[in-house]
Amino acid sequence: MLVSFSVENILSFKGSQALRMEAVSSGKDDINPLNTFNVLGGDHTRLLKSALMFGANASGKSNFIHAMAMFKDIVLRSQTVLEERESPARQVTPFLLAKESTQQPSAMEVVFYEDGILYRYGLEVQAGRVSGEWLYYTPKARETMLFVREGQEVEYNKQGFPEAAPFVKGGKVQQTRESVPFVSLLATYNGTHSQNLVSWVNRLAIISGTREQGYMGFTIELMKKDAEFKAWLLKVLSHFQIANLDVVEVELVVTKTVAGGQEGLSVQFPLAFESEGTKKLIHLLGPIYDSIQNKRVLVIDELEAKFHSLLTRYLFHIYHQKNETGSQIIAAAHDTSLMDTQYFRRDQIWFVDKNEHGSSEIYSLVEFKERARQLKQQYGEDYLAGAFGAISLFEKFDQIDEMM
Amino acid sequence: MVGKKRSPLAKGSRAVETREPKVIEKICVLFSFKHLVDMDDVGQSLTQCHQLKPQKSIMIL
Repeated sequence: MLVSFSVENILSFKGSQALRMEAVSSGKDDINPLNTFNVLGGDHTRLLKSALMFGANASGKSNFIHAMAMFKDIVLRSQTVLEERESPARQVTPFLLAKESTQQPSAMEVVFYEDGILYRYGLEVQAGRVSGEWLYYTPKARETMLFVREGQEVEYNKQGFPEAAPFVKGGKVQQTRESVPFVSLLATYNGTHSQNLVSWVNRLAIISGTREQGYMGFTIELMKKDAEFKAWLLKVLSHFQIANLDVVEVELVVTKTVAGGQEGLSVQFPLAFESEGTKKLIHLLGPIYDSIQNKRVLVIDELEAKFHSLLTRYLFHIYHQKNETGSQIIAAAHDTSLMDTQYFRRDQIWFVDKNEHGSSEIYSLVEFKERARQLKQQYGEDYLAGAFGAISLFEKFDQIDEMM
Repeated sequence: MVGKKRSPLAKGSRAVETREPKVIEKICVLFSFKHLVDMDDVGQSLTQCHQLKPQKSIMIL
């Protein structure tokens, strides 16, 4: 379960910025209990099941998601890449719009629960090298260091992190190239804590909402091998008059039952005949189901592209209801009708905006004062009017007219 | 220095109600001079003004 993901000096982010999944407990914001789950032990008693990121084009939403993808790639793939020039750490680009930032490392840090333990793991990368790395855990109430690495030098907790012992000599990491995280090496030797970290990172899934063809194959395979998924899928699709779905060779075939008129008439046709929204829904339900089953954090860029507002709300409604496992969805979105407290809490709504220095910042709707005793149902109109920032660069339509 | 405590990048607990929303106030100002403008035009302008849903309407006659 993700508690927070932070970035600093990476892509369009200059200062430290974080997306946090802790549910706030302030009275009026503590609504929609199905949208949160309880965490046993630790400081974070409740976490959010989902978060939506809003912001103008080029505000940095996709950069944040890209940073998560790079983090995953560095942790999981660095150890197996043979050519140094292809090392995942080389993908990391610092904030380029300030001279001092280009000479400083980029940082990414994740706080998460795995196997009932709260961990904090961070990476600093500069010029393709892991210049800093740290892992802490909170076994009881107090955060304890497991290891801290600076370049190739390392200090570790001999009692709490014995898995590091065979790979540290004279205060330096052994068998670990400069571009490789120490945990990636330790995980290949089945170290308990490093395995927990790698296992969590492995279950971080990042997909694009505009290229659903990418996970169509995944959903088809899941349908073939998991009868429970197919049953769940058909239950959801019954709301779209779809009675059955079969895989014929490599194509999905829909059986539709026509209501009224010719009662009982069932017609079969390829999924290609369905609307773009229905196709995307079917393809997306595979990764969503999988994320629930395998306690994944599913990150979706441009989630609601091709979806009607009501369909997106419906999707989250069933996700919040069905998800009891600790799975989470983080999605970049544009549909402002989702800023609706009937479906989401204010702490689930995030904004990404660029400041006057061109650096992206992340903040939540719950950070804004709401003077009324009760929350509004809809915040979309206030957002579009500019009350929370993170809107289009064109503040006046006259500016567009001048350009035309 | 190796072993130096690394502070979390996401510090403290989540902020709640610490920011002021920007007040976007639409004010519709309607100037009218009776001897120059037909009162029907004034009425029509007033309707247009209300369609903008301003927080305040000021009418100067």
